[in-house]
Amino acid sequence: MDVHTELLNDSALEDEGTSSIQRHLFQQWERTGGLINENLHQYLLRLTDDLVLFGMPIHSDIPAITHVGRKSLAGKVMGSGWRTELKNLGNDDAVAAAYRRACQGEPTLEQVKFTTTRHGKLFVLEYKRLVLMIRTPKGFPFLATFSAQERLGCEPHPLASLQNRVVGLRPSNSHVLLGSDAEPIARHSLSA
Amino acid sequence: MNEIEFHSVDEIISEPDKYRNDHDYLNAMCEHFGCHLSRDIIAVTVSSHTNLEIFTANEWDQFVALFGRVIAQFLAAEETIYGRPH
Repeated sequence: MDVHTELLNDSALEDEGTSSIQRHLFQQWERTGGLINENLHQYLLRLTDDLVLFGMPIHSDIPAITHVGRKSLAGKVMGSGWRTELKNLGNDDAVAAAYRRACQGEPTLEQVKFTTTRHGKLFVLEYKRLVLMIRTPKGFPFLATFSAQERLGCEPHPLASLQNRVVGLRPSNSHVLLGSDAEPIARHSLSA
Repeated sequence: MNEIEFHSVDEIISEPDKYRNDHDYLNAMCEHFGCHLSRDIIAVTVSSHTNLEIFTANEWDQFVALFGRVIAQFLAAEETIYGRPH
């Protein structure tokens, strides 16, 4: 399992290679600098199923998750097993950079490549993740992310047969990768 | 020497709590932090509407668990530099 992240330039927020929802979300956010007004409230409410919300990073660089939208990449595609995998990877820096930048009030777009093994097959998930710090009308901050999938590929792992025969690897419970429904409730963390 | 007057146990118990129940507590915290968007998002997630008054018992339980988590994050952040509105 591996994860690679790359922070993109601000210009990517207006680039056509970025999803239309991410571009529109950024535009809505930019109008108020992330401070919630009625318009932003209503707009974000319409995105309930697509957003992942976090608190602020307090005890570590990785903030706690407070909401996972049913249709978000985390809820629909990656599944709960991915959180454990990333934690086991021990490379929080790869996912924390976006949070750190967003916490400075900078709109943050990053390219993510997530590679993992399920049932002896190698899965590659590529997506763009928009991380924004939002402030309530009272000025209290939290983080919101919107991830847009770009590629989900699958190919036989070169060591698959050997792994299955010798180690008997217990599969993680990533929903997409295993084909079951996603849970809407947040047990995720890290880079949703 | 003056004797210290203790409140009776009955007096203490009958004194109203600051918050009567979860509903009052979450309402008060929501107003304090201004996190109505988070409240609405959690409400829509558990019930597809934002009218807490007509939640079923099951929806209410889910809401309290999830929105309680949101409030806990705001409370924790309030103790840090993040909690100072600016």
